[in-house]
Amino acid sequence: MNDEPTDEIVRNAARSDDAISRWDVTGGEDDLLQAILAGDAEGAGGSAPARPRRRFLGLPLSPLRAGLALACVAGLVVVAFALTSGGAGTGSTSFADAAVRVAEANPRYLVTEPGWSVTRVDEFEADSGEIEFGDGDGHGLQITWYPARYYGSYYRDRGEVAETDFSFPELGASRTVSYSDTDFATMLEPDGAVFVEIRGDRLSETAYKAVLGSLEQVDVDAWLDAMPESVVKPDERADAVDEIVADMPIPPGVNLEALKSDAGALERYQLVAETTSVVACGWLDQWAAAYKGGDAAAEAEATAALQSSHQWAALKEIQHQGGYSAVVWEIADWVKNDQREYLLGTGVSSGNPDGRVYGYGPRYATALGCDSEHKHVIEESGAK
Amino acid sequence: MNAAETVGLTPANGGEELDRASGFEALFRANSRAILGYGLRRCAREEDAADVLAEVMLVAWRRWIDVPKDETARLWLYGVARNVVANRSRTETRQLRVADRLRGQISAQSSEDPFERRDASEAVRAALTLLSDQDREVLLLSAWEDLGPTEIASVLDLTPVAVRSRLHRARTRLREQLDVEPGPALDLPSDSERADQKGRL
Repeated sequence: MNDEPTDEIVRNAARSDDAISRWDVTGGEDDLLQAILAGDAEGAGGSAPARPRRRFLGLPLSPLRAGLALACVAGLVVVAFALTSGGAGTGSTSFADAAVRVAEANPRYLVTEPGWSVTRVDEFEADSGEIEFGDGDGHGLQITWYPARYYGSYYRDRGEVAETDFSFPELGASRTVSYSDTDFATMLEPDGAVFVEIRGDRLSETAYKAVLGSLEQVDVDAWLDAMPESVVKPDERADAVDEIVADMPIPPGVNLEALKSDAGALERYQLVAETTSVVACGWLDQWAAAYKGGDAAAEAEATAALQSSHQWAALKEIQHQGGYSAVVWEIADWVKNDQREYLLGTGVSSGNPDGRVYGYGPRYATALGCDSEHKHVIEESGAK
Repeated sequence: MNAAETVGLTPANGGEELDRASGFEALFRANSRAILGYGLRRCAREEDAADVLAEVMLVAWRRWIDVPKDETARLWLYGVARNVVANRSRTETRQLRVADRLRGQISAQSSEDPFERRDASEAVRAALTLLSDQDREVLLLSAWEDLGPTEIASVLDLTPVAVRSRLHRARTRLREQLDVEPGPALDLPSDSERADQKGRL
């Protein structure tokens, strides 16, 4: 249980897992389990009369509303859009196809107010994503895009929030609601496959209107050019890989060229993880082969190289952005501490729907996603 | 006798199905209350959580091949639960017959053990509705399901960086709405954070 004070406040507003675990609902759970196993639940089994749809978004904070239970609080389903390379259409030639496809599907608004820039990009996908702009002084603006098919439900949900009479004719048809006197949100009508929602962060009415008034629709190149450093642009990728590995010893035989020319990753975190994996996996593979072959010198070389990962600048750079760095360092320390059995251990997965039994491993390769990971059928018994 | 056997699945009539059934039963028993809790906390009528659990487990049964066969299975189930709850909110809700008994039991338990919603709780719940959908879900997964940023990233198919950013923003906005003093804002990764489903660690 984390001890973040805000989480504690939220936690106290609902039943705890501990309390729920004491409920006597085992009979109903058993019935459900058996019904599923017996196939009785297929076809969703006779629905009772439907109840009206409930609203779940955008209730204004008022004593009246505060007395209401929160309906099913769910968000938009983030639909992963499989970006593929090739055939970028009419877009720029200086960016990856994947990035261009996102840009082409997007209304591509940029804040042109002086001092404002893109500070963050999330879920950079064609039909969902978010860009955050900031002025460096605590004020922000988020532009979120969603699949157009959800426009209707969002529009109805926002209908519960106090509507303003703001008008932004340059943005087309729009509706602005006010969550507070420094928290406004504007929905634009769908444009192609997506619709856009804009929300200010600590912007007064005047400031919000000014920032929205400065929004400009730009072309693909200008929009992608405005992306922050965390989005690695393809023409920068080779240099970025070189920079990431600058203080890493490269294992013999490891080639980074494919990594440099791959147009897949867009975020720097991903690129650092991808690049570091190639290097760390190379050393781990050498370590494993040397151990098995009794080559003490090669084993010592790999052990020292992996230990140096504690100083690799790229891993330090991303260590607070996710758990990748910690795992590389943990594995490096296991190598140093001779935890060979564990690192080289394999796993078995049985009970798979195809009836096969699979073997996985070695453990270090599975943990880091090394190419040397093996996954193979070790028992065909019962297979189709 | 386990549930798979009581419904007539035996090695004699299909070892493959028995493996699937045994695996599913283990998954169900290990995660039923967690998913029930997910639904209970998010639905206005607590008995609706029975249908949420039923729909989530039906998806897991039908898509057994896609369900992770390790400790990340619960994250996968949370991801399905999120979609199920979202779909129920967008569309006409339905009650599954297979969840009838569970629905009744939840209703009874809910009456016997009412959750006392103090004024403060109602204010928190109302303030939560003012967050954006994704910011809110990130915060709820942290506070209600006690997931770390990397686990939340896995459930929502976001990057851990995005989760931290949203978590920070959601907490800040909620505190502002509730007019409470800020707490520590730094979200450092916990030791337990591990790889997400994209191979990122």
